[in-house]
Amino acid sequence: MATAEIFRVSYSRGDGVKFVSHLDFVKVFERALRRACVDVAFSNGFNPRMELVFGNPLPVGFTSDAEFVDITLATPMDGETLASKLAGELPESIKINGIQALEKPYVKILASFSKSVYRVTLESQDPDFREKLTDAYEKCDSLVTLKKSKSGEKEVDIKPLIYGFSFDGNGDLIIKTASGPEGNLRPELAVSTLADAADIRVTIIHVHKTAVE
Amino acid sequence: MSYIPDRILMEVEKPARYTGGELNAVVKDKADVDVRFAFCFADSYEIGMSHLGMKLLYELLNSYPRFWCERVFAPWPDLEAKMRENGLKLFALESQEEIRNFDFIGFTLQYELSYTSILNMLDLAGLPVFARDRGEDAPIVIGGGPSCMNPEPIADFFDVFNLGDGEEMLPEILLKYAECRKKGMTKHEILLALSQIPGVYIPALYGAEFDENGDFLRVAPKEEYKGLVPETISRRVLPELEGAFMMKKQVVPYVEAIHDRIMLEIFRGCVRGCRFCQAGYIYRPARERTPASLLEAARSLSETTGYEEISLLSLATDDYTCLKELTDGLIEYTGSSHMNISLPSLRIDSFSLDLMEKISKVRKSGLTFALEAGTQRLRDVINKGISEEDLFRSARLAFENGYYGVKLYFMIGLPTETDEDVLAIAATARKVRDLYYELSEGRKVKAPQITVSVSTFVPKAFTPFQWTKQISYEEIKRKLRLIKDALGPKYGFSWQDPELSVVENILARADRRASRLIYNVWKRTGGFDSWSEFFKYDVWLEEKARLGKVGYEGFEVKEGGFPDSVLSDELREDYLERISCVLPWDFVDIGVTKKFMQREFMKALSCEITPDCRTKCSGCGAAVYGGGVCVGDR
Repeated sequence: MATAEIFRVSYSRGDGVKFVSHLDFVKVFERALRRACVDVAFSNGFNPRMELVFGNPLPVGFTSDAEFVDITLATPMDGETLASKLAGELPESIKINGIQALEKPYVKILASFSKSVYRVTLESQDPDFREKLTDAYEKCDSLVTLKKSKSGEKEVDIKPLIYGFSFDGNGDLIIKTASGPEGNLRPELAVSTLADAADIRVTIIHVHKTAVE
Repeated sequence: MSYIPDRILMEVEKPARYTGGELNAVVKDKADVDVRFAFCFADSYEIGMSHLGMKLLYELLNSYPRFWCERVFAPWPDLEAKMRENGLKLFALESQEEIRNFDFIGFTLQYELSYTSILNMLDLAGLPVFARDRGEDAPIVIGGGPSCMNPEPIADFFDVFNLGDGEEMLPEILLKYAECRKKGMTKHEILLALSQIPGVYIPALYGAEFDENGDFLRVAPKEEYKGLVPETISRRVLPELEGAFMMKKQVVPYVEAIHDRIMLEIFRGCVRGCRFCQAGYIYRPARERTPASLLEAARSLSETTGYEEISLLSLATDDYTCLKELTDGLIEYTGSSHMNISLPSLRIDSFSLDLMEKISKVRKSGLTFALEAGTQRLRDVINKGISEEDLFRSARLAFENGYYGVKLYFMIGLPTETDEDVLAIAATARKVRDLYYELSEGRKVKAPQITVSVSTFVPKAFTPFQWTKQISYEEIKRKLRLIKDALGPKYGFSWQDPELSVVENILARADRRASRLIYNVWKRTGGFDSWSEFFKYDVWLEEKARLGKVGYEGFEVKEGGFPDSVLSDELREDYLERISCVLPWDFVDIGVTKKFMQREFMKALSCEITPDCRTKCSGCGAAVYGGGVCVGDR
C-alpha cells in the first residue's frame, strides 16, 4: 500500500467511552498514537500540539459509528499499518472502521459533512407515541422552538433542519438532522420539540449516531 | 456495565469519573481471587487520581494473582445526592460492584480535613462508620498514609492501621488475612493475628486513658490483650528504595486529573529537618533510587501510558544526589518524543536555569521560592536552611534570564514569631521588586508580578514543634491584615483560609476523643471539608465547644528570642518540663526519637541550626532502619 502523510480515519465510539467529553477524548487519541509510536506531525509554536483535526464533537452520552479524525504525519506511512497500530492501542470501545489517504488540497473535515443520522431509543407512557410524533412531524409546516446559544435564547424554526424522520423495525427513531456549517440540530431538541407539538411526554434512553453525509 | 444507571450519569458533572475502564485499569475475575481490596481516596476523582502512593500500591497489590485491588473515590455531591435518593451504594471503579462486600476497604490518609469524607464514604457504602458497629461480614477497614502517624482521632472508625511504607507491609497484611480466612477464623481472631505484623496497629485492642481532669494519660493494650500485642507500634520502613517494587504502568484517567502525568519518585524522605515539616521526619531516612532504574521506569511508564509529561517527585528535587545524570538522561529520552519534563520545587541556580532552558516549554513568568519566614532569625528557628542572599542570588539570575514573575511562600504563626517577622514578609517582597527595577537599569520593562502566598502554621505530631500552640484565629486574621496592608496594591497576595488551619490544628494532634467530634460534624455537614465551599467552620466550632478537649493543644512559646533575648533559666526549666509531657501519639515509634524532637525544640528557641543528614548525622534515631542516607558514605 502506498504511503501518505495525511489520513482520514473513521471510527466508532462505543458504550465504554460514551461519557468521555470531547476534550478528554482528544487526549485518548493522542496518547494512543504515542503508545503506538506513530510519528505524528506537531504544530509549531510555543506549545506544540499533535496535528489532529476532529469532526464535530460527539455529545456526552452518545455512541457513534460515524466519527472522523484527520491525522497528519511527520513521517509518511501506509494506511494499513497506521490503522493496525492505532487499533492496537485504542480502548476496546473505540473501533476503526476505515482509513483513507488524503492529498492536498482536500476538503476539511468540518466542511465534508453537513448531515447526521441518529438512532434514538425512546420511551413513553403513551403507547401511541410513535404515531403521534410522526403525525406532529408530518403535519407541521414549521417547528419553532427556543434554542440556547452563548448569546442567550432565540426562537428558531427547526423543521428545515430535519431531513428524515421514521421509526425502524425495533421502534427506534431514525432521524437525520443538520450538522454542519449551514446549521446544527441536536436530536434531543428535535425530539423534545416534536413531543411538545404532539402534547406527549417522551424520554430519550439513548442516542446512537449511525452515519454522516 | 456501569453501576450507576445511564439516566443518572447523564445528569451529573463529568460522569466518566464513575464508569471506570481507563487504560491500565486492572480487571480480574473475582472467582480467581482470595482478597478484594477497595483502595479509597477520600476526595474527588481528580484529586485522588493525582496521588502517587495509590498508583504504586494499586499496581503492587494487583501484581499478586490472588489479590484484586480496585479504586474508589468520593462521588461529587451531585452524584452522591442521587445515589442516596436511589438507594445506590459506594462502588469500586473496576468491577463496578458495591464495596460493602469486599474483604478490605483501605483509605490513604493524606490530610486531616478529609476525615469527615471517610465517614461519608463508609456510610455511602452502606456500612456503620464506627468499627465496633460493623459486623462479622463487614470488610476490614484499614488506613495508611502520613496522617495516620497519629491514628487516634480516627481510631474508632478503623479496624487496622498500616503505620509505615505500604509496599513493605500491605501485601503481608493481605497474605496473612487470606491465610486466616482459609482457616475459618473470626474477624476478631484475624485482627489479633494481624496485630503481630510489625507496623500494624489494631485500635480496638488498645484503650486510650485519661485522668480525672480529662488530660491524656496513655494509649495502651487493653487488660485482656496485655502481653499479646505490642505496647508500642514501630513504623515499618522499606530500608532501601532502590530495588524495591517499581511502577511499570499507571492508570491513565479519561477525566483529567490535577496531576495528570508520569510521576517518578526519585527519593523518599528528606535530609533537611525543617522543624515545622512533618514529612521531613515521618519518612526518614532519605532513600534514593538510582538514575538507571528511574530512566528505565520512565521509559516503561511512557510506553504503557502515552503520557506527554514526566514529573519528578520528592520532598526537595535539589537534594537528589544524581540530579544532573538523571535529567540528562531524561532530556535525551523525552526530546526525541515530544515529551515534557516538569521539575517541582527546584532551587534556582545556574544549573537549574540551564536545565529549564533545555527542557524548554517553561513559560518565563513564574518562579517560586519557599522562604517560609520573613527574617533570618525566624528561619533559623525553623531550621529552614535558606538565606535572603540565596533568594536574591536566584531572583537576580532569574530576572537576568527574562523571568518577571516570582511567587514567595511564607508561613505565619511560627513559634516565637513577632510582628517584626511578619512585616519582614512584605519587606522581602519589596526588596525583590526593587531588585527587578534595579536590574532593568532604566529600560522600559514589563511590570514584575510578585505574589506573596501565606499559609498558617499548623503544629503537627512528630515534629519538634509538636508542643507549640497554634496562634488564635484572631491573631491569624490580624497578621494576614498586617501583611496585606504592608504590601499594598502592587503585589499579589494569597492566603489559606484561617478557618481551615484552625480545624486542621484541632485534628492533627487530637486523641481518641476526637472521633466523636468528627462524627458529630460529619452528621451535620456530610463531609468534603477539604473543599472550602463545603467546609462549615461554625459547625466545627460548635461541636468542639460542646465536647471540650479532644487532644493535645500545645503551649505558648515566648515571642522573639535568641540572640535578642536569651532564654532565662527559669523559662528553660519550664519548657523542659512541658515538653516531657505524654502525647497521644507516644505509642507510635517512627524511628526518630522523642529525645531528638525535644533537643530540636530547645535548639529552635536558641535559633540554633541543625545541619542536614549528609553534612552531619544528628542522631535522630532513624538509623535503626539501617538504610538510605544513614548508611554508607551518605
